[in-house]
Amino acid sequence: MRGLWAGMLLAGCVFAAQAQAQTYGAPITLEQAKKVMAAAEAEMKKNNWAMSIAILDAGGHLVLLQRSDGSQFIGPEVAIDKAFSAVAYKRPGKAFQDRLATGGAEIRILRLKGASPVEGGDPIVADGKIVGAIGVSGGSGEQDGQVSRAGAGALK
Amino acid sequence: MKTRPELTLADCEKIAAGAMAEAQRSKWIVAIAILDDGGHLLHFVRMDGATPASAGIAIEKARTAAISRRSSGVWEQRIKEGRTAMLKMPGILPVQGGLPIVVDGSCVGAVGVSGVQSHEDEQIAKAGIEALLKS
Repeated sequence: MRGLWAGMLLAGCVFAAQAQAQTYGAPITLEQAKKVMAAAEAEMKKNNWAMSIAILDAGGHLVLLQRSDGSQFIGPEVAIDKAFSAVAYKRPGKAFQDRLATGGAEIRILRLKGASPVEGGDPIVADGKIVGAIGVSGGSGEQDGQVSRAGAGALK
Repeated sequence: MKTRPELTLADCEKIAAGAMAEAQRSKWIVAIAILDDGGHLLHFVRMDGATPASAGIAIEKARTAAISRRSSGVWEQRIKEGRTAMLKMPGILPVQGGLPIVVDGSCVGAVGVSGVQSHEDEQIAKAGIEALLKS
């Protein structure tokens, strides 16, 4: 029993230590969200990709979303999940993805509520605070991540 | 084989712009969701100050209209008239503010609006659809 508690405590410490120190700011404005969307869309179009892009506010609620013509209908749901994970856990989906890939005890990430351990979701930071997140789906993980980061970078 | 029209992202942007303009004319703050005919998201926008709840409500109103091919207000009306069993219909949010988008006799999707009074939400959705159809 003592071992179990020690294990849980350790797990908690690991997550706490890796959480980014940034605090939440005011929810992203529609104007800011449009800037993020424009930057992400530009990156997507440059590469001729068809994707769904979602932008959530600091509380994890949808602000702006679009789905490219002809892209898969589940895209928006996946994009929303990725953005939710990024804003709720204050870290990119790739951070979870990389840890999950190391295997062993890290497969516990699959059990984390609301976590999407897939590249393509990133927190949006403005003036040093997390104001929301972007999630992208439709390409490979790497492609989604490239578009997502292009969008998130628009407010930096 | 039968063919049917399909909403493009450009169409959705026209609908959203028309709906947005209608809302802004009255200084209404809302969320606007546009779904395809399968009830899946195509486009969404929430204005500054619209409640977090309005996001989900707009989507559910639109889904109701998209998959039932009739306005969400019709469902609300039926229940008001006493058909309480309609509350158990799957995927249906029986609140006015969601309208199907009908082009050449086919339902190509739906618009859902949430944020002001239900009849005003519907007025905004209608303006969005009209903006598309007259373009």
